[in-house]
Amino acid sequence: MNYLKHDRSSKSVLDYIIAIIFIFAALFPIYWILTLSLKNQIDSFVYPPTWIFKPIADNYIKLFVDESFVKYLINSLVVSIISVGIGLVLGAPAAYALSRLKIKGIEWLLFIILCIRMIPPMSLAVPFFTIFAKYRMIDTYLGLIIVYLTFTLPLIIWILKAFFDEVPQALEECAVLEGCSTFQVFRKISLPLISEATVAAAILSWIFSWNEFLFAMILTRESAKTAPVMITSFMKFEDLEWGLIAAASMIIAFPVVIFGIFVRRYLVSGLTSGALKE
Amino acid sequence: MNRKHLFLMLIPTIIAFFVVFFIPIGYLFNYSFLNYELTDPLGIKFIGLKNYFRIFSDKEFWNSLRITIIFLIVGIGIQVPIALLLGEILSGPLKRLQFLRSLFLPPMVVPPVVAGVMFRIMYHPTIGIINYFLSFLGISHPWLANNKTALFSVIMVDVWQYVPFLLILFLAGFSSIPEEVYESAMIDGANRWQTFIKISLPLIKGSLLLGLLFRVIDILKVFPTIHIMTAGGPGRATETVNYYTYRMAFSYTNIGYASALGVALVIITILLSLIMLRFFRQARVNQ
Repeated sequence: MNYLKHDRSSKSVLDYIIAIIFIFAALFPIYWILTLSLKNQIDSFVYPPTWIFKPIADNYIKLFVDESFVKYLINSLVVSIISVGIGLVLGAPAAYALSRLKIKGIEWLLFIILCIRMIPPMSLAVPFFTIFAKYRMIDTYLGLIIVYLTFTLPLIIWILKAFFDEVPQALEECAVLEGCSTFQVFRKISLPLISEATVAAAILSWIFSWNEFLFAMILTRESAKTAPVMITSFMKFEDLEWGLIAAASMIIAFPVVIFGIFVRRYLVSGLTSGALKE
Repeated sequence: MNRKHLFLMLIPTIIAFFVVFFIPIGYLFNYSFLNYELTDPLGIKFIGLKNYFRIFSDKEFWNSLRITIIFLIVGIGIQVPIALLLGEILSGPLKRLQFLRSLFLPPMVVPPVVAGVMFRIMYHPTIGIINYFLSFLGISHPWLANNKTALFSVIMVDVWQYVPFLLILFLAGFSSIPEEVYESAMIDGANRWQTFIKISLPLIKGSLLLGLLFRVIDILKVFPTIHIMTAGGPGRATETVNYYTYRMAFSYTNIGYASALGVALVIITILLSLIMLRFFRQARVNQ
């Protein structure tokens, strides 16, 4: 095991120190806001800050009882889940077709889908706003769900296409010989084979929809407002409502962090999907 | 495979892309040639390239472009070296401690709104935790309220969120390098720095350029953190092109001019992406 002595593999104290410093930097802000959400009004404004305190759930209770936070959480859930659902229903067959069709235009179509990933949402938000104003779709679930397809659909297509490319063709040809139609091959053979990737793609695009802020802020008012947009309404009272803001932040971030760790392997392929192909 | 059936599977998606992408982009271009203010619906009329000419003489636009370029250079200049350093450590000396990689992950999935809120609280000038830590060094500073430090403070939130993304990307690059390469470098007597510069860095060039490409694209889109932490202020110190477009459309309700800015944003994004992709292809050819 000579190579263990190699510079690159041999551990030094400095390596540990650097890793610990950056892990602290990554996690401390989350820890700090978590403690703020569990402090009472007085404790959260003590200076110097208190490190030891009696945790209370008051902020969380107040959020759910007084602030109709639940309504906005439900809006977020409905919009994000439905847009992912539609993204899957449209995207999975499309990804399959893009993987199997061997014709010239396909490369272009894939390139356009990649471009949609690159276009700044602001450039779409301006026309969406006027179009939705005209057709009375501002502040509706439907409007937001449609808009969210701009990122859920390309994401799902690129991830699933990469996985469909890996499915052995011989298997599908057997199924065809047994009398399966193209739809049946897709539904009964190929899609089940990549079910894990499908779940990952769904979770990833759900994270994007759940975290989305710009479209939700511009295209909703009250009845379809999502939880991230709701947080900004606390900001006016910044100096008074730290605990509430912190609690709301924790509730919004919690499921994303859990799911994020769950799909860690797919996170980067999700964020960069498509770019490597030419 | 039945070709006709495959086409049928594709058509709903193509229709969806028309609705969610081609139609709005078409409207954007159309609006950019109009005098179109939300407050004056009767005054909508075609004015040709006037909105585009206005961009060139608009000092606020050039300021926002300057802010965007600083954001790109400083942000990427800080996060890439940190991610490379951590990648080298986690793929080398601390390779066996796989769980460490997960500890870096949360910032990357925290909703950007939440990140903005968290840091706005922590940056609080008098009772924020950041100034508390810095008080031991004798520093106390209104980070977000000072126009010399506001942009840097916002950039640091971007660094906090995206070092993990770059780290995971680079780790994928590092893990594809065979161990024998390092063994032969060791036999040749290369030290750690030489190994990193001469071996690791060239071999992860692909991951590096991909990371740069996506950081450029994503920084051009940054919105929630700026909106929540500074709203483009103080003055115009944190107003990127993206944020300026927002303000023009939704504060000044000048849809025509905002659309021209939106087109400019698309062009800037495409230009920078093409430059990055060219480097990317060259790197692949050279490998």
